[in-house]
Amino acid sequence: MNEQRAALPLRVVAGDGGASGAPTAEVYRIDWLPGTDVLHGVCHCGAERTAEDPVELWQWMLAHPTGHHPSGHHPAGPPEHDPADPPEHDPAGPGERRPTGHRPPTGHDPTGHRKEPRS
Amino acid sequence: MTGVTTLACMTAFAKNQWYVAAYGREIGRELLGRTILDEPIAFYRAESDDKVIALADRCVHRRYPLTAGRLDGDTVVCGYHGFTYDTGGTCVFVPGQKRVPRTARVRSYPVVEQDSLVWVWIGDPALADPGAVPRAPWLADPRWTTVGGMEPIDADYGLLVDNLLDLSHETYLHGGYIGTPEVAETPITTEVDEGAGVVRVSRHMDDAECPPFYARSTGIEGRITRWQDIEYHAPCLYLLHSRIAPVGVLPEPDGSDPNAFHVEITYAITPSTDRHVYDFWAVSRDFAQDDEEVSTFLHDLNRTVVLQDVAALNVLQKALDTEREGYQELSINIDTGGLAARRILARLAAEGEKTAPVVAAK
Ligand code: FES
Ligand SMILES: [Fe+2]
Ligand SMILES: [Zn+2]
Repeated sequence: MNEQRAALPLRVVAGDGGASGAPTAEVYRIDWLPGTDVLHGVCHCGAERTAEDPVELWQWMLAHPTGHHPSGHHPAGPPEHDPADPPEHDPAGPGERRPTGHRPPTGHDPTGHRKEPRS
Repeated sequence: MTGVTTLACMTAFAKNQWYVAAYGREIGRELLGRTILDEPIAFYRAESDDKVIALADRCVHRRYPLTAGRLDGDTVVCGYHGFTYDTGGTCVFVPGQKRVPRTARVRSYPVVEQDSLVWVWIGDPALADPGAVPRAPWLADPRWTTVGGMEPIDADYGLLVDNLLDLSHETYLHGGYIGTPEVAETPITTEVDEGAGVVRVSRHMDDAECPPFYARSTGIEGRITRWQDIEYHAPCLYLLHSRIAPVGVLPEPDGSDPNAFHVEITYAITPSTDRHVYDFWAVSRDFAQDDEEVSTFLHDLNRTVVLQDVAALNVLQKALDTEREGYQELSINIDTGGLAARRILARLAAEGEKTAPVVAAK
């Protein structure tokens, strides 16, 4: 599904989309896993969760950063900060817009599913 | 008890947003009245420069609708006692006296005409940014042929948002037109871009029956690869990028897609009152562009489909009106996109409210 998305006709024929432009940094995604009733959610901070109820899954997702900190189930190394630490920098606060490239709020990083190394 | 939500009886309006008021072709040298977010507005084209003008549709004198009056050059003359307004809404003439009261003006609305649509800004005019109007460029692109129309619905606009964000209803409500079993059966991917206020819902069917809508317009016989990629730019613009190709035919590695048929289905969802919404719809295609028969077929069939939605939402609204405040509903996987859209609308409505006192103080 991911590979196909790169070739949407919109991108081909309508490059001058104006305000329909590039994604911002705060994208939440839910995949309905084919062949199952399971929904798989990925927050923009990288935290993931599965559920069989979209209401429950959105509630969890949009509560970011609450509940998005690494839990004991995640296989990778220890969190870089304790979730209880005061945030170093998050002037916008939860739910506000963040410019592309901004690091996720301190203490809410998933440990098991990060795609790029932390700079 | 999963998926249960408790609802208020009306979707809040989001102010400080652009809304589609009309197709450009609907506005000329006759006054056109539309009520948008409960605000009655009179539209016309100025004689001098063809610009679309939007003025509050209530004369400042005795509140007679300006749309019941007439145009005189660039001005509007009230049909009751002749108060005359310029394109900015300032009263430039009153009958029987030389002095026009300083407070004699009607509100004028920021307007953008783009991609064949006329957009109006509802909210604080100081916040209107013409660059923020979302695009649907195929509507005015000669490489595409577009048919379209507008049907009003007697329902909360939130019901239309729900309807369009969940296309699984095509299988049931539009079976034999655009729906086939695969639409309801195929899992979706949903993305919410919070910063951009955009919800994306994708449903890619690899091997699906070809509904008459596409079979007759494309000439494809047999099964198809059918992709539906929705982009909802809350609150008003809904784009459905539809890709149709024989089974197994995919875009080229370079991203071009010469062997598929593309249809851009554009909707504008413009709330009128709490029980009335304008449903603008357009179907643009990149094939058989000059074929009048295909145009007529797609127009008539899509209008039939839209009217099926109109009838269903009118019935649904009537039923909901008999519910008590705080009624409940049950959501399942197909509702993932609709739930996301509702939440964005609630946020936009709350943000629009926040600036309201500032407007009043100005
Ligand atoms: S109501 Fe318009 S001029 Fe009297
Ligand atoms: Fe429909
Ligand atoms: Zn998160």
